[in-house]
Amino acid sequence: MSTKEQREHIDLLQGTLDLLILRTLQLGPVHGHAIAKAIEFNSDEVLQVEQGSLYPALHRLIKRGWILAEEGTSENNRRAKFYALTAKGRRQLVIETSKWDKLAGAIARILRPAEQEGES
Amino acid sequence: MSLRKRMLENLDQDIRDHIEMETQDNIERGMSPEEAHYAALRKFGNLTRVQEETRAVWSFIWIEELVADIRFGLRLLCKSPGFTTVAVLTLALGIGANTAVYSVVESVLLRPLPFQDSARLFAIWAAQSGRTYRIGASMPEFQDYKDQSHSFEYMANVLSGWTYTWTGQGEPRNVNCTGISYDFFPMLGVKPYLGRLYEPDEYHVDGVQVVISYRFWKEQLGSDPQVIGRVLKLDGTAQTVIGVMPSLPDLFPETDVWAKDVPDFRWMQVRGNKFLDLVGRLKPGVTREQAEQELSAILHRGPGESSDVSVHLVPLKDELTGDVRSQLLIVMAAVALVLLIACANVAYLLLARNTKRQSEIAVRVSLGAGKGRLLREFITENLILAILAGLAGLLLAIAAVRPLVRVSSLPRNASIGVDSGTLFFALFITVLTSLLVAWAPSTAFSRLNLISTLKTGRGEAGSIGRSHSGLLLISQVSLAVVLSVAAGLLLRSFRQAEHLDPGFRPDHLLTAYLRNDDQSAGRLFFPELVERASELPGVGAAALGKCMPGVFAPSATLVFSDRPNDPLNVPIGQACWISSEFFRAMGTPLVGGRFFTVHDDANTPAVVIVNQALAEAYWRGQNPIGKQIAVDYIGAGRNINDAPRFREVVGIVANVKQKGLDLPVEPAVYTPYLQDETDHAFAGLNLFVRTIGPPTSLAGTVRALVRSIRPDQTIDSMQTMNDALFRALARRRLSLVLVGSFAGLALLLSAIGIFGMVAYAVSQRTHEFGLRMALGAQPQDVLQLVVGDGFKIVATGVFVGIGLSSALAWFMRSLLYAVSPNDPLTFVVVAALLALVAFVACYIPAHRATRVDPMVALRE
Repeated sequence: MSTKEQREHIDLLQGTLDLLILRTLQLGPVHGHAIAKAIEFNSDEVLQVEQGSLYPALHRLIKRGWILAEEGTSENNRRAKFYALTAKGRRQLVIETSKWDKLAGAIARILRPAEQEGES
Repeated sequence: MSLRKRMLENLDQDIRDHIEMETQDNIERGMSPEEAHYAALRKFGNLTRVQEETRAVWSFIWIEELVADIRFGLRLLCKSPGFTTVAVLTLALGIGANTAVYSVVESVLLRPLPFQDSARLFAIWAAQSGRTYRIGASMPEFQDYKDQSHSFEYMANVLSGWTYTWTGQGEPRNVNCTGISYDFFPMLGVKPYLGRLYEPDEYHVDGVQVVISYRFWKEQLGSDPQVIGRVLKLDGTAQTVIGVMPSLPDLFPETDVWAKDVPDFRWMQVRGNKFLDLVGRLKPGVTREQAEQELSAILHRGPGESSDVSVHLVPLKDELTGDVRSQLLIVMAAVALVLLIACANVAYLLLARNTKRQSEIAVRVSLGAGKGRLLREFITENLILAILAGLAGLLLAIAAVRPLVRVSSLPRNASIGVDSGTLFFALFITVLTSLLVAWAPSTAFSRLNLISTLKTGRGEAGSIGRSHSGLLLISQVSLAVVLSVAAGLLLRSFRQAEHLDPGFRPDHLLTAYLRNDDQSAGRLFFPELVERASELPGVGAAALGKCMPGVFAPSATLVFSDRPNDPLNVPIGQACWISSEFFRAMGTPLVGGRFFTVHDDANTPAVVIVNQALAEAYWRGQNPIGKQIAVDYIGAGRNINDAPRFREVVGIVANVKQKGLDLPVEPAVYTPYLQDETDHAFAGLNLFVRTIGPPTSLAGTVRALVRSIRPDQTIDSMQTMNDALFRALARRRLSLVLVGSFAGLALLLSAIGIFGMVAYAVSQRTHEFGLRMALGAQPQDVLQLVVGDGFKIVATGVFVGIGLSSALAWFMRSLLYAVSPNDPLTFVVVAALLALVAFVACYIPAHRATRVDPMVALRE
C-alpha cells in the first residue's frame, strides 16, 4: 500500500468530509465510529471513508466552534465521546449545503450542457 | 484547561475505542477476532499519521516540529563530524568568498555617492564621434556652458593631479592639489569642517588663502585646532589657511589642498586648452540626453569647433570608479561559480548520505511519517548546515576583506567592509545555498520506492539519484572549466603584458620625479643635473622625460604639413618632452635617422622623433625623415594662443609601450624639452638613470646630487623602473590572482567531487566487482570499468565547459591583452588539466576496487 494513494484520498475528501459530518450530526449527537458508519451506510457504501481521517476533521470542526464533544455512553454501554452540532454549526451547515448545491449544479451543467438545453 | 489540551488528552483513547467498535462490528459480521482486528486497523488507516494530523489541527504544532527537527538535524550532523566538517567548510569557502567580494562591489560600485542628489551628478566631457579619447573643457568653453545652458542647477570645473611645493616645514615636500571652481562644494552639498570656503572674488587671485583637506590637516598639521589663520609657504608664496574640508574618501582621496582654479590666468583663457574636468548637477526632470544635446549645441557655436565633437554625460559615480567595474564584475562572476561548485559538492555528499539512510527513511515512512514532514526535516538539516557555513563564511569574509582592499588599490576603498548590506547579502546567499544544496537530494526523496527498500534492507545500489549525481558532477566540472579558462586567459594576458617587448629595457633603471615651480630656473637646473648625473660613477646614461614609459604619457594633437588635415578628424598621438640621452637611457633602439643631441635647443631648428607606429600610420612606404609635424600638447599650462610651429622629423625609434604594458602601442612623437616654447616642460620632469649595478644602490648618490645643485628641490617617488611597472600592473595582477585562486579552488572542489562520487560508486559495487573477479576478470578490467565510468561524465563536463567558456570569454575581452578570447592554447591546456585532475580523482578509488578480495566481497 503506497502512502501516496492514501494521501490523495484524504485530499479529495477535504471540506466535503466536513460537510458530511455536519449533516450526520444534524440528527443528534453521535460518537466517532457511528459517524463513519452513517456516512458509509447513507451513501450506499460508495463513500469509503478512511476512518482515521475523521479525527483531524472532527477536531477541525471543534476548533471552529461548529461542533462540540461531550462524554456519553454508546449503544453497547461503553463510555464514548459524542459529537453534537452547535448553533453556529447549524448555520454553517445551511451555508455549506447551499454552497455544495451550487457547486454540484455548476459542475453538472458543465458536464451535461446538451441535456440542459433539451430541458429548457 | 484549554480546549486544545482537553481534546488531545483523550485522542489515543478515542481512537482505541473507535477501532474496538469496528473490530466488534467485524466479529459480528463473522470474522475471527484476529482478522476482525486487522481489518479494523486497515480501515482506520495510518494511526501515527492520524494522530499527527489531528494534533496539527491545533496549530502551534509546527513550532514543536521545528524544535524537534532542529534537534534531530543537529544530532544527525554531530553523528557524522567528518561529513559535517567537509560540508560546512566547503560552503563556508563559497559563502565567505562571495560575501567578501560582494562587500567590495557594494562599496565601490553600488553605494551611492554621499553627496546631495548624487543621482543627478554627472561628469561632462567631449569626444569625437567614433573615438574613445576624452576631451576635457577649456575655461572659455566652461564659461559658455555656464552662461548659456539651462539644464544644470550647478556646474563646476576641477583640475586634479597637480602639486604645490611646501617649504619652511622640514624637508621640502610636494602636496597634492585639486583645483576647483566656486560652485564645486555647494553643488555636492559639502560644507567646510572648519573655517570657510573661498569667496567668489577670491577666485580671481592666485594664492593668498588656502583650503586644505581633512587628511592633510590630520596627517601633516597634526590636527592643529588653531589651524585657521596658520600660514603655509606653498610654491614660495605665503598662503593663509581659511578652511578645512571634511574627509571625502570618494572624491580625489589623495588631495592635500583644495586649490582655486583661477580663470584669469593667461593659459586658462586659451580656448584650445582643454584640460578641465567638468561636473554638473542636472535640474530635476532634465534628462541626460537633453543636457548632452544642449551642451553639444553650445560647444559647436564656439569658434573653431568641429561639429564632429559631441558632449557626453557620465554619472559621476561611474566616472570615479572607472575601469574597475568590469574587473570587479568578472571577479564577482568567478566567485559565484565557486559557490555553485561548492553547492554541487555538498549536494552530492548529501545525496550519497541519503542513499545510505534510505532504509531508515523507508521504515519511518511506513510507520506513518508524512512525506512533507520528512522533507521539512531534511530542509531544516540543510538550513542548519548552511547557517553554520554562513557564519563561518562571514568570519572568513571579515578576515579577508581588509587585506584584499590593502593590496587592491581600488577607488572608494575607505569604506569597504562588512556592513548591514553585506550581512543581508550573506544571509541571502546562505538561504540560497541551502535551497541549492537541498534540491537534488530532496527530489530523490520523492522517488523513494518503499517496498523494495524495505525488502532488501538498503536502497537499490545508487538508484536514488544516479542520474542526479551525474548531472551534479557534469555541472561541477563544466563550471570549473569556465573558471579555469577565465583564469587562463587572464594569466596569458598578464604574461603577454610582462613579456612582450615593451620597446625599452626596464632593468637597471632608477627613476624619480622632480617638480619645478620656477620655470626659468628649471632651464638651467635640468641640463646641469642630467649632465652631472651621467658623469656619476656606476651610471651608464641619464636622461629626463615628461613621460614615464609603461606608466604614463601626455597626449598631443598633430598637424602634418604634407597631408590634408581634416578638422573633423584631428590626429591625436602620445607625446613626450625628452632630453637628448632619453632613448639611450631607456635602451630603445633607433630605427632610422638620429637621436636628439644637447644642441637641439631653443636656438636651433625645431625637431621631432617619431615611433614606427606613427611612421606606418601616416607615411606608409615613405621615408619619414625630413617630413614636418606640428605637435600641440594637450594639458594645463600652455600659455600661448598661437598655432604650434612645425618640426622636422630627424629620427625614427622602435615602438615603446608608453601608457601601460597592457595597452597597445599608439603613434607617438618625442620632442626635445629645451625646445618647449611654452616652458611648460620644465614644470616637472622624470629623471631616468641607467645604472651598471643594482639601481637602488645609487639612490642616495642621485638624491645628494640633486640637493647639491638645488637644495630646495623636491624628489618624489624615487624607485626602480621595475617597481614602477609592477605597481602599474597592480590591478591586472589583482584580478588575475583573485580569479586564479578561485579557479584553483574550483578545481580542488571538483576533484573532491569526482573522487567522492567514484569512491562511493565503488563502495556500492564491491559485491559486483568481487563477482567479476571471481569469474575471471583481471584487476585491469575492473580498473578500466571504474575509470571509464567516471571519465565519461568528466569528459561530458569538460565538453560542456569548453562550450560555455567560448561563449563567456567574449564578455571578458576588454580585460584581455594580446590574447584572443578563443585562445586555443588556453582551452587545450585547461581541458588537459581537467582531464588529468579527473583521472587522478578516478584512479585512486578505482585502484582500491581492484584490490577487493573476491571471497570477502562475495560473502558480504
